Amino acid sequence: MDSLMQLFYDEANEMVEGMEQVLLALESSEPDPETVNALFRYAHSFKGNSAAMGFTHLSKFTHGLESAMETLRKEQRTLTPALATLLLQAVDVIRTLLERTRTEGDVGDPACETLLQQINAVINGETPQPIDAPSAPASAKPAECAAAHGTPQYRIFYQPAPTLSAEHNPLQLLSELQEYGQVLQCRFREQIPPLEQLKIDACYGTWEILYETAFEPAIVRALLELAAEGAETRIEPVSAPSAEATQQTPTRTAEEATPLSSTVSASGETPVTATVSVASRGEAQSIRVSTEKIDALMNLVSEIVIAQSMLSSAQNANTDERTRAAITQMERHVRDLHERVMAIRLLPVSYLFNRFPRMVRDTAAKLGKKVNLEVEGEETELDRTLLEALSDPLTHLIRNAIDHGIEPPDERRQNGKPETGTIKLSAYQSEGRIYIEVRDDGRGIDTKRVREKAIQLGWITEHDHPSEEALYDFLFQPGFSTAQQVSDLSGRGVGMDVVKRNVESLGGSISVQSKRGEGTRFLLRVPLTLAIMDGLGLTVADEHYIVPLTAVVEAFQHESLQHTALFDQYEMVNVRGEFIPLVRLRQFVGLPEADQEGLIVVLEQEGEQIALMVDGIAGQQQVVLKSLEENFVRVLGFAGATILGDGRVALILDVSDLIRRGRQSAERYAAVA
Amino acid sequence: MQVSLKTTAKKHKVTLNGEIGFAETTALYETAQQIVQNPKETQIDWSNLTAIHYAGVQVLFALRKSLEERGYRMLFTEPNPQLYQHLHTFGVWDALIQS
Repeated sequence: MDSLMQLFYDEANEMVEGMEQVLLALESSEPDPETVNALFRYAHSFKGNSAAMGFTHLSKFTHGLESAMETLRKEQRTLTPALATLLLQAVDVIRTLLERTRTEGDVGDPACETLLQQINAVINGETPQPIDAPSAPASAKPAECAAAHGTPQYRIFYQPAPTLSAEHNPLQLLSELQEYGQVLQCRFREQIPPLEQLKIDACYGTWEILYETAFEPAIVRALLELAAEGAETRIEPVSAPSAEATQQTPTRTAEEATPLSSTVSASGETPVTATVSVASRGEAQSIRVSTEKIDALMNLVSEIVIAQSMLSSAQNANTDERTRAAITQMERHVRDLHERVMAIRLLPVSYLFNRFPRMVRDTAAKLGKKVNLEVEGEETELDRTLLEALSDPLTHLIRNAIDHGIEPPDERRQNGKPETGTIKLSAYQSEGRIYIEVRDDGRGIDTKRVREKAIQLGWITEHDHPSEEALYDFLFQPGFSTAQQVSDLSGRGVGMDVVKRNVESLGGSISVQSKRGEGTRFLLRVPLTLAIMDGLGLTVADEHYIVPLTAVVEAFQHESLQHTALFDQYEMVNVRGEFIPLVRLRQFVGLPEADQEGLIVVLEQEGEQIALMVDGIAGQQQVVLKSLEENFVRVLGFAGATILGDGRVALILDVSDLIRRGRQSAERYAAVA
Repeated sequence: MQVSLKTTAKKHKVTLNGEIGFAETTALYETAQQIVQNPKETQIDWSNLTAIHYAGVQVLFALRKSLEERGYRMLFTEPNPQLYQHLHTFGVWDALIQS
């Protein structure tokens, strides 16, 4: 793709995202003329750019939208929920068409005209809400819009969840559609690679279906999205069943059929900008760089860090003063280079958080709930790879909060709460880590039910009374769900374990706090970056280990009087009157005890401390993290590995895991004491 | 056995029986890999196949593409009518057979 075209797509995607953000902002606050103007400007610029690139269908559709927005702007019409829904659908259509242009060129969609008619009709107050109103809860009743034209028809764009399993079979889900209506026309778009590149559990197909049903679209969506997380279903009403459509039979081939649009992105990775551009193009002081280039640069910097570390450790007593000075200078420059490249990779979390207002809106509407999403700390920056990896866990947590946490409006009213529930999504940086919090003011976790469920599953007995924290831990076990009904959103007992696994695979952790009737708070902690960190080298016998420097509190020579042991097993160290659990690194890695006492290194994470006994300290150094999981398997107690300056491999200790082990000592000690 | 492979000097014949669920897809995938390693014209006999998981369908698509890249055809026997109806309704039959 030439650079001009790439620039067009980069800008177009930003405009589409901008339109969506503005619509969501308009819906949730008092109409502000400047915000309406911003919406108009996005549509206007998008139209012009599309026309310039020869995408006449896109340009024509956006022109229609621009005219509708002009009416909205000039006549100061209110953005009703129905109109917001239609305009958001229009944004979806633009997004889909935009992706299709990558492979199909100047492509249109018959749905555009219908959608524009509906938008204009609603703006002019000519017809009632033509589609499922966002406040309507899902119920298995015939849709009201059936009356005028017989059974309503819908255009369904279905992209199954990306992973296939025994339970997730898109063909089976599609066949269930036939029990609720009639498939009039279906187009299957396969993107299946040759066998050599095929992943057996990856799903490569999408479907576009002309479907006739007397049931609510929410039922159709639930059917298609029930089996697995991550499916994308878009259902657009077709205003009246056309004679052509009803006469078409499924026997038509893809080539003969009226072209239907697709929700699939044909090309691979969507480029992201290296810097965040601002809405006004004139103010932007940035250039666009592909992520591949940044990743290549980052890898190169990682190698330079290793080479520089090798050079530093090659110094000895015979190294002359000039060489020493040059090495010191180089160390400084490499550190600076690393920080600057890291900064390029960092993106504000708004890049991720911006996806959620729409999801919250749609999910809440689907469940008949009222939810307000508050976002805080959007400017907090995080490595792009981490941001992308956090998308699924956060999506799951937010969906869970809406589905299980926030109560329906009448229940909230009865409990003296405002009808509209609040989910607060916030991000902040502290102690070299990023914290992301998902907090809701819903009903909270019912620990009594969690305990009952754990007994039912045979995980504990009737006589066991685990602590609140231990009960919350059950939530993250595979197969655990207290949801009384399985919904298409959550409650299937899959998900929270995956959330935990995903966060831990990023070197992070997750914890939960909850108060019955008041809400729940999930706290995710992740490192700033996965690539390079400042570490402290520790030695036992001839082996080197690394701990993150941010976790190190202090180090001192161990004296036998300072420590006390319980059953010769659970040891604590007295540090200025405070007892800290002790872990002997030799014991931890399976080496025999040393003849003489070693050093104690106190490590801290999230307010908890652990004393680690080691033979010696090898000094501070920058290390490049290499994943054990990617190259070997996940090993408990170790967060990864690195290559030292002398070429040897050192394992990086997982401080969270050490603290977890230390906590057992502390609990045992406290129980006996 | 749901998946079996017979090979002659000129062609491979894969016979699919009963139901190919997600668990059985691995066997089909391994069979397809064997075929690609020794590519020849391949016939898929699915006349006794009653149902197939979409993962299995994807393996057939992928095998056809790999064979075609090497200049070989993949042919199908007439399927069980119910299976045909199922694949046909959702566009998979047309894509697999005619494209």
